[in-house]
Amino acid sequence: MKYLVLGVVGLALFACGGGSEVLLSKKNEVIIHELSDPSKLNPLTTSDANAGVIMGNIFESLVSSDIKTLERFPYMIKSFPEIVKKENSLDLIYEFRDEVAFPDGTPITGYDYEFSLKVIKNPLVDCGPSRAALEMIDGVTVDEKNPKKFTVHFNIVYYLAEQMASSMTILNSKVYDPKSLLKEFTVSDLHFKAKELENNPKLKEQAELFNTKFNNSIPENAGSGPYQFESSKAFERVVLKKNKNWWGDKLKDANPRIFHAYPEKLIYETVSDFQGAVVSLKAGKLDVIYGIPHLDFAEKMQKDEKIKNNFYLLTPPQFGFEHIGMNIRDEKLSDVRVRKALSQLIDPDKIINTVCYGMAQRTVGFMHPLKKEYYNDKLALYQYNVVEAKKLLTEAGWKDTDGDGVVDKMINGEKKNLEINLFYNKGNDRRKKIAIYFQESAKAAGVKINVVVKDFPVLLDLLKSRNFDMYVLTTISSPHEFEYRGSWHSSGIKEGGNYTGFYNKRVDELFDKIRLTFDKNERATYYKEIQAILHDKCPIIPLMVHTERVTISKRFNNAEESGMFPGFDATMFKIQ
Amino acid sequence: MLEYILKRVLFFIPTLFVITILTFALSVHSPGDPVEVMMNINAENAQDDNKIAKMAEYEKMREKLHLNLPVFYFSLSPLSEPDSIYKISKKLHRENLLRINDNHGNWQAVSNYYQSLIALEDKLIITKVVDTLADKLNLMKQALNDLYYRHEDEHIQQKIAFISQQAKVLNHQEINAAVDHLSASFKVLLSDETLWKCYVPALYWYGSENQYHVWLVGMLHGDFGISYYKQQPVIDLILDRIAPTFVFSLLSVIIAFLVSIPIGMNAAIHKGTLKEKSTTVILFVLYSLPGFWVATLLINYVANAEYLGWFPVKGLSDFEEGASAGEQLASCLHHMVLPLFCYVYSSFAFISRQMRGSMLQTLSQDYIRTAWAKGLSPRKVYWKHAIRNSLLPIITLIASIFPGLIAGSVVIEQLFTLPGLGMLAYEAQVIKDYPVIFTIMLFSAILTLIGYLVADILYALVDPRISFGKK
Repeated sequence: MKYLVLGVVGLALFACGGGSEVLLSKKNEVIIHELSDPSKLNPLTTSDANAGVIMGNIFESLVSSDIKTLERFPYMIKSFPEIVKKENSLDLIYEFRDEVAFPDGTPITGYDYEFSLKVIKNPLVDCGPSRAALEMIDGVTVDEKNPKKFTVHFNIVYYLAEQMASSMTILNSKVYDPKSLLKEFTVSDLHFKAKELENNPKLKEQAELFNTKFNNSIPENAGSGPYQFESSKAFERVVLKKNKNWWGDKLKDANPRIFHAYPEKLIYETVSDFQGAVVSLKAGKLDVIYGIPHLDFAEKMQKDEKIKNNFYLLTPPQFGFEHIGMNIRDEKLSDVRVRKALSQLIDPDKIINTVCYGMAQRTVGFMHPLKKEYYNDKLALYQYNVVEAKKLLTEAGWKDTDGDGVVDKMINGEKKNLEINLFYNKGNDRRKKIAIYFQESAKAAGVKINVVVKDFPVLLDLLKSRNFDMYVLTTISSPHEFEYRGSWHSSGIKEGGNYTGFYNKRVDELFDKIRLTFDKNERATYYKEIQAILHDKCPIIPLMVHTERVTISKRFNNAEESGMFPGFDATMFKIQ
Repeated sequence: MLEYILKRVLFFIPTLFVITILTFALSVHSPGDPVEVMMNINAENAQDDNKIAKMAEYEKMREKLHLNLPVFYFSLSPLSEPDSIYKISKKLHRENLLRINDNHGNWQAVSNYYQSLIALEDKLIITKVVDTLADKLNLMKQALNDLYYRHEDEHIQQKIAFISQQAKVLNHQEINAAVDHLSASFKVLLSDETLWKCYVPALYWYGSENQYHVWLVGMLHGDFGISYYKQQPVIDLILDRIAPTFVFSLLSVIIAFLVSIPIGMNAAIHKGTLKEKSTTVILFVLYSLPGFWVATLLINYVANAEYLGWFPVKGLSDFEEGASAGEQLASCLHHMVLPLFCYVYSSFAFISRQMRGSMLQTLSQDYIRTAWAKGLSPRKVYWKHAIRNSLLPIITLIASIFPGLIAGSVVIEQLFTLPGLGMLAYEAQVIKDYPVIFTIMLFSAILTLIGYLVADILYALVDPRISFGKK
């Protein structure tokens, strides 16, 4: 026993080294919490969102946006490109700003844009999804007299062409192709002859270098952004330091809402346990936590005096749309009256208040209410209404004839109960609660819902094989223009994202028109009509759009919330 | 002894072979499509365009992962199944066709049916119809799509009937012909059943061009595949993480044994006394506390600056750049206290109870009575004569320690953000990164085998009565 006492005393003495004082740092650096490390630090082959944020500080693209208004601005370019529409193709003519340069002072020109596209188009580089997305670009022409000017050629007419071309990451060829292996190829070569070039030794060498050498660190001069990579240690942190030679600092009359980089360092600190992160936050070892679970945010943060006094608690909008999808191929769900009845057997307001603690917003459909020009606010949200739901079910022929509490109907000579399987993915507590809530509320109208949990890959297989009745999922869109057609156009029915099997000729037509419509007001009319049709046909039950939950230390000014992931822009933070 | 070790090592080879096959079989039959995971195509992404380009990238990745090869050297399957089923790239199509084949036992007919589906689909895609008929065309596409994933005869019949109905309205010569062909091919499927083939086994030989061979050869060369998530070689990820787990596990084992063995011996010697009983109660209370709960409490109170704030919350160290070796070591030790406590506290009760039981049994042996009768001091009786035999059951525990050396404690590493293998396994499990999961599993299995071998050798060292040689 005496050894035990001695041990505890010794431990306490040793432990005293840690200190118990809570000190808020005065350093001009922002420490941002991450639950896990970025998958890797490659500007093209990384796919996770947190790595994307880190990359966004080191690499730049042609256009940026105001984090508050979400309005897009020419960033590396003098103005938005001139768009030259042809019969079946489209050209975008850009001109880089005179000041844009890599940290070593090398000016950025159209050749750098061309190089960056060539890396993506190299068929051996592991960036298949990006390559597929940019399949519409088949060439880049740089103006020889003024290399800052260049033209991007699209092989289709598409209203999103400008956004796609302008969001491409600019890479430094000195870093990513030091032997100039890609020099002899043009974008067109790589586009049209991809198959025959797959064995080209130069492309192989460049791809090998890109796929393997640039995953754990980012060399100096790799990108032209306001920060440069300093260090990274697994399960500890990724540190970015201010690019002292950033071209944005040299701009005269620069709009500070677009061109800013105030902290000297951005530190992405991995703390894999959320409780541990909260303890670190209170100890002043973290400045920002985002993606906080609803319950923790409402119960632990908003009610904690110490946190309220020392931290901003923000709930910026998030462009995720949670809904219940219905397989309208199914004989029970093919009748729109049944789908409308189900839409009135769930109360999203109650879910928002109880499951999400009020941190979500109802929506009539896939369009985020913040996109005011496009959102159809004339449509009435479905309300929880058991009487109306029962009426609709009766009209559709569903009645409880055997008194078992579940409505039934004769289908193809067989009596069938209105019994529906509702799938959600394992590990998602919010969706589990939504599913159970729906199960309970639907009982009132005699609808039996079986809640089924599946691993995400299994659920994905069920959706792809269209082997489901209903599912709860969130689809992610963007604060900017976004291609929504995959979920609703009939071209997505077979293998695409149109899981519900929704088909409507007018909706197809409208989406086809949207692709060719460059006028925003005109697109708005089409989008509103699409929303009205979907609202009427009910292939899904729209539940809500979420808000992010962010805590930021009050030692900073400019801690604005943003609709852009992850809900804030740390480069804007200024020490108080 | 040497002969025995050699024999055991030789015995490991077939055992390991079986383990690799089991591990591989699990990885092959895991849900989800590895190609799609690698390419990060998921349901949460509503954008769905450039299908042809995406499909080309899909095929490229499939080839890169060797998924275009047969699974094993041979396949033992019903005679009705073809030897080239692996060539159908879409996993869900492949699985559905196999289900249809199970119902009818005629692969040729199934294949014709599949081809007729594709042929009709091609026709529907290229056919342009007047606006008034566009609905019909789309309804046909929808019904046809369903057929790729359904195997029930009744359902297929209904859908084909529906498609034929729509085709009549459409009245398009080529489509009608393709629908007739589909209908005919399904009728053949129903009429020409060879169900007996489903009960006759057939052996197909594929040679060394198979997924398992590629995986095994790669493994023998230290290539354990590529992580779906990190897209880096699995072995690199494991080597990066092995050191912290190994250090923690080894230290915790040493501490656990160093503390528990004397406690267990004391408990046996002072059996029935208040001291023994109170120690037992304390140890059992500790034993019954779940690790994640204790770790969370420690983080919230002992590491939390609002309460004690004695220890850091996460990581292995946080020394500043340019710190001396002593400062670095102190920082590391400071960070290790809480995780190490969580690692070891529950094993105190377990090991000490084992030791107590074993010691009590030993103390009742005749040779111990003899030792007492010889007038030996208690110290000599306990620490020289009794301890060696009492340690035998403890050695058995060592066998189970080895796999733990690499697997680590998932919960502790996750809660304290330790860059170890447990954390790697946890992350891999969350995102279904199967190459990582199965490599760690394989390593654990190998270490278990090594653990048993070491335990056998230690038995011989501790107990001179055990001999592995021929008498």
